Amino acid sequence: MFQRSLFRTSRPRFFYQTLTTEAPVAVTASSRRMILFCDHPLERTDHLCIKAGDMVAAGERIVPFSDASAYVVAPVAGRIQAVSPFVGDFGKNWTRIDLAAEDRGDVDSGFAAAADQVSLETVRQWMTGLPGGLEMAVIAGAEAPIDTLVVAATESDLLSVSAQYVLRHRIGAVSRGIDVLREITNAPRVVLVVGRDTVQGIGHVNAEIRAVSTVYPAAAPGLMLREVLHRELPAGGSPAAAGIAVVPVEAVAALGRSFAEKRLALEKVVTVVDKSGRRTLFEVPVGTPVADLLATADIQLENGDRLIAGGPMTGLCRYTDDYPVRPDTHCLMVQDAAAVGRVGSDPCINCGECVRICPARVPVNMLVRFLEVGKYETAAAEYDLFSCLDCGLCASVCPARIPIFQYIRLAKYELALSRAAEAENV
Amino acid sequence: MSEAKQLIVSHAPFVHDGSSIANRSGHVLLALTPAALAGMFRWGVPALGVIALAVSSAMLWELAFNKVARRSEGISDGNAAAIGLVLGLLLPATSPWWLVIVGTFLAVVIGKQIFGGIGANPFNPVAVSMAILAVSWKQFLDFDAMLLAYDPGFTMLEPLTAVKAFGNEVATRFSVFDLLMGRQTGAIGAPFGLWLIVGGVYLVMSGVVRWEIPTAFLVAVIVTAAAFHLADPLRYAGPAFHLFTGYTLIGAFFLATEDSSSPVNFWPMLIYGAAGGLMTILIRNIGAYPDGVIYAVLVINMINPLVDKIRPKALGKVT
Ligand code: SF4
Ligand code: SF4
Repeated sequence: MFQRSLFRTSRPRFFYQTLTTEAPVAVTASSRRMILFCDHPLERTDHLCIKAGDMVAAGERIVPFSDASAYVVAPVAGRIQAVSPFVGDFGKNWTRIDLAAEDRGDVDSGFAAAADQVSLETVRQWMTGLPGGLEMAVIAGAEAPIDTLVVAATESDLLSVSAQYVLRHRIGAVSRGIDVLREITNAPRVVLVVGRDTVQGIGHVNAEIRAVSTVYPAAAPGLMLREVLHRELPAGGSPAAAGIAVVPVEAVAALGRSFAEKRLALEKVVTVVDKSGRRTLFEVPVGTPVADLLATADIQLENGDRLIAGGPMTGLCRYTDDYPVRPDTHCLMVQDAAAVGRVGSDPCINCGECVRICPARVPVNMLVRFLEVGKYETAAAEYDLFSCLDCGLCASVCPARIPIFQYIRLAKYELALSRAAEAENV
Repeated sequence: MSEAKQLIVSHAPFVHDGSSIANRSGHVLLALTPAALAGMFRWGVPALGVIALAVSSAMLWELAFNKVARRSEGISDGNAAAIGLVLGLLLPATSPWWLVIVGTFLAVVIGKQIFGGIGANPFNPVAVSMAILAVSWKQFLDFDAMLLAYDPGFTMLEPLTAVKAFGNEVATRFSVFDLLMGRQTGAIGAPFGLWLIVGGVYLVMSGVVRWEIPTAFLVAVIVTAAAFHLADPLRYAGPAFHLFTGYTLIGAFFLATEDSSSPVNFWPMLIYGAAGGLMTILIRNIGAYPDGVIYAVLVINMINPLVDKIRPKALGKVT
């Protein structure tokens, strides 16, 4: 992962992992428990229409609130154990539903009936929890009419190989998924983006194939679209706003499979990396508790370990393994306490390492001075906060060990909050 | 859930290249070691005394100031030690003990700490200190005065002062090879060109020093000196002479490159370095001082914030 020598005449480079050809087929595992998150806060219980003890069928669409359209799909048949409020990443308020699997449960036929009709409506009604992470606003072209559909078979972080696995083993489903997306988005151009080292041996797909560099973070949307489409997004602008719908390959495959089999394909490919760096691929339903997945992988958590969802550069630490595999949990890693030192309390010494490694040419040495003291507006206006691709490289080379990336995420979060508040007040 | 384990939660990234400020200071100390050893061999125990006193007093000033100002302890980052060593190598071996201690006080406390400590100093602390010392106690920084203490068996004229007074004719008395090997009168470490180059290249290779700055500095010294020499060969010494005398090499590799007071972007680094080399020769040839490196470094430190504004357009930035 690290390419660094004693003498650093060139800057350090990080590479995405390549899925080796002899990699085994992902291990499938099933769990007796499921944890589902519904993207709606559980503030009052009078609109709640589910309760502990209710039975649900496999594939059933659960709508927990009578006054909100948010739903989850049960991956297995089972009995609801508990419904509780949950604070997710970045302060999001969710409703958590714990499910205990029942062997003799029913199978819901709702999706099979709906799947006869390939439409955005069907996708909306059933597929928010599809593995890979399907954003409805993106495929609906809510921000701008879609002129290009990009199927990203690139990894989200350094250690993950999940997308490559999907590309290699589910090319038929990917192809079918592309047809579905073509139909519902009417995108005139479809591009499949793969890492340069995986471009060989892709089976037939009905899309242009474009290769992208394997040097991290070439797969970050801002860099990827510049490399393959020669389009530079405005700083802070989303691809969707530029008319480009970027959909992860795993979501495309799941979409294709769901329509072909008339059954929601909820199995998520997860790259699990243990403390020694050993990598195993798993295929488990979205909602499987991480604790069960780690047990299957024979990984013991110790006090002081880090449990990271995502990857070493951009992942999020979990404080507990009582947390499910989510649609975007491409990689799970367990890291020893000693693997990475603490952040420091030293100030920036202006060494410029961050500036030289930043792929977005952000003047990080200046930026950090403003972020440290909470001057987020200045940071955004004058020091290119929104050009940042959230890659984390700067913080990984800072000799003062300033938590630069944390400052950056916090600043973006705070600005988003205050801008949302301003918009409301207008 | 398995019995609850206490997991550590921290923010990404979860990898680090292992660099640290202490590590960088260590590289600087190591890079200066050959020149320091050469100085001790040449100038003997007094040189050893000055170096030891400079390093230790710099560290003690750091410690003392951190205590007084209730700042977190900074001595372990090695920056004070590096400041002390650079300063020691710029002083003559005949420096009285109090001069060394005043020098490190000026560098660590005045040059660095009162601006806010490491990373916040707009000027190179050592250059600040040397400039004040040179104005206040000129007689103790007179390298020709060392004549009284030493008889090393080579021309005991300080080359730059001699050329300033007598023109290029004197310069021809010094062989370039002698100058490179440090066979000249001067500070404890600054004359040992070969060892400074070795140390400087080591720093560049280990990524502590950005190559653009010393390279631009030295190229500008060569070009400017050559221009003067061509214009008036009798008065002005040639580029090789200027390259290997005075503080040129130690300045290019160890003073101009100090992190906090130098730029980090590519073109600014080149401009900054080149301005330093140009200023050095201008001061030497038409200014009032025989050596101009210290003042040149202070001047480029001053323009640093300005030139470092020249930077590439960030990704997706529309102007
Ligand atoms: S995380 Fe750091 S290195 Fe990466 S794009 Fe942002 S500022 Fe640049
Ligand atoms: S890497 Fe860290 S210490 Fe160096 S300039 Fe960037 S923020 Fe400052």
